[in-house]
Amino acid sequence: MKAAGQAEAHRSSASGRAHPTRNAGYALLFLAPWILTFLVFWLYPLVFSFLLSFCDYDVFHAGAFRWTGFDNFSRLLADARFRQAFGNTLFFVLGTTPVTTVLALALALLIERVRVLQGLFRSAFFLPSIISMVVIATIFKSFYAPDGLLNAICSVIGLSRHAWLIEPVWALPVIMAMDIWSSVGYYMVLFLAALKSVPPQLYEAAEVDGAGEWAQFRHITLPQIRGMALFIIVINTIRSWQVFPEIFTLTRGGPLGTTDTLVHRVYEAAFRYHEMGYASAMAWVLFAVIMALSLLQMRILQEKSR
Amino acid sequence: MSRTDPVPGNGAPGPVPASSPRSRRAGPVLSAFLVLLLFSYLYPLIYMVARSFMRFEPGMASSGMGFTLEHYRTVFGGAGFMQYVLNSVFVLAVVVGANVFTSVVTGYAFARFRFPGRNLLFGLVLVTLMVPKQTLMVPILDLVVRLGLHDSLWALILPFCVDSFNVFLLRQYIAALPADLEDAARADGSGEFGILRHVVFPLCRPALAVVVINTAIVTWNSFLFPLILTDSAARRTLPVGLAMLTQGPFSTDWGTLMAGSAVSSIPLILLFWAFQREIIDGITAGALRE
Repeated sequence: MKAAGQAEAHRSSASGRAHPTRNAGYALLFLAPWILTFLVFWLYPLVFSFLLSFCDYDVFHAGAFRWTGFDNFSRLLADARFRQAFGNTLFFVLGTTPVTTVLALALALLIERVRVLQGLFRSAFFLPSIISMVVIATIFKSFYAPDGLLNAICSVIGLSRHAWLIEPVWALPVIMAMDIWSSVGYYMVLFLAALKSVPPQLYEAAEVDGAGEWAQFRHITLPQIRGMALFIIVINTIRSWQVFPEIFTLTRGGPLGTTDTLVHRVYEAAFRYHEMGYASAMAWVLFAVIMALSLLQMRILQEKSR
Repeated sequence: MSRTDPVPGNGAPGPVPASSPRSRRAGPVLSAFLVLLLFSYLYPLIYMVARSFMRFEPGMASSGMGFTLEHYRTVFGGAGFMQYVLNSVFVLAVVVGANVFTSVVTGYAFARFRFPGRNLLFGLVLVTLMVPKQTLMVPILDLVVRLGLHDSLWALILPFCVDSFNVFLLRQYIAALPADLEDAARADGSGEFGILRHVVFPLCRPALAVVVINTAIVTWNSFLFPLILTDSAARRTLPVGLAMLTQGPFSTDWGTLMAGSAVSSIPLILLFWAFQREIIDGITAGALRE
């Protein structure tokens, strides 16, 4: 990557695009806000949280750092609540990401064929993406209430009514359904952009060869949007691992910890129990998961550009 | 799925690709499904607005229902939403303004200057893009406490004044601009600040629109950091205030909760209504950052 950068630099100087009159001192001045933010709000917290994860520490009663080695991490492995939260988050990720991705693609393909009011459909499905998750969760809280919309629908179509957010079996699934509803439009818009960039000649050629619609989807559309699909799966997965505002608004991890998630556990450990060291250790587990996914994403993007 | 045009080039000038996605149509079943789905997306918002104006007491006859502003009075009065609105607007204005400035300045430096370590620094911009700030919430809280900023609006502003994604966007945008105008201005004796202000900045408007849109939406809806970096009710932003409302004595007072939700979301919905295309394009551009 570095070699490529140097090659580029050489090319640009050869083609007269270098600017020898520019004073590099200005560059430092212009970069100062970013460098400062990077050092203070990124590098320092990263290093500090790494150290914290090996300590006992409470921000609000400062002074007392106690080095405890790997205690926090061994405690994590034995902590039933953490393991439950990890399992719930994994369930959330595996239960939402594939569904959201497939639905988003299906909707994109469908909406592409709509002649009338296409813009309205697109905007309506996209709308939840710009609305605060707290607002969405508040609206759905009333839908999921014992006397709410979902139970009314269930009564009409002959299904049994439930206290959706209170029964341990249902709480996480109904939150996941809400999450799929609210995020599918965002990924649909990304798929629409990818579909627009497929060269129409490919379909013409396939048509001449007598390829049916499914064959065209399978052999033209899918390979052409493969890069976008992988990208969407990865960013969606990364987002889902961090699920929090809806949990905080609707259940705060309950009932019986069945909707507890990783970020919510970090929040609880840090702000309810003031165990900042332990919370940092948990945050590093999340960090490791997300970094692994990000590296996967970089690999995908590189493969895509090759 | 039906095809509209089974005969290629049916009277149209030039060959019309009979089965390009453009000429396909959704059948009646799928259209009906789409309309139903559309309703499921509009209903929650209609419900939110309608319920927030509705007087509705359980056990009361339907004659007891009617129009009322009472929920808004509760929300703006006792629940303190006036303060939340002001806090949200203030934080939004400062963070968006700062990002417009820092993204141009930093992007310009990365795009146009050659200095040792440039590739390394720009690589760091990309690395920070990959790390969600959520994972750093404990040390950032600690830092904010140490700086004496805990429970102040500055805690919601200072960490967010420079955004790596915005820097990245402007760097790419400026690098793709021809440098001729800047060189001409330099030949005319303009200094770097003059060039930045009078040449680069006006050219960057389209990219800055993306910065403004993305930053405004993210900042307005931001939840985790306002939740942990502030303490008192007087420093809450709208999402935090609303989340607290859903858990307090109003937790099943749907009219009041919907009024709070409407206050929190209507500004963005109106903005979206006015700039749908720009917002969707901007957010797509944001996601497709390669």
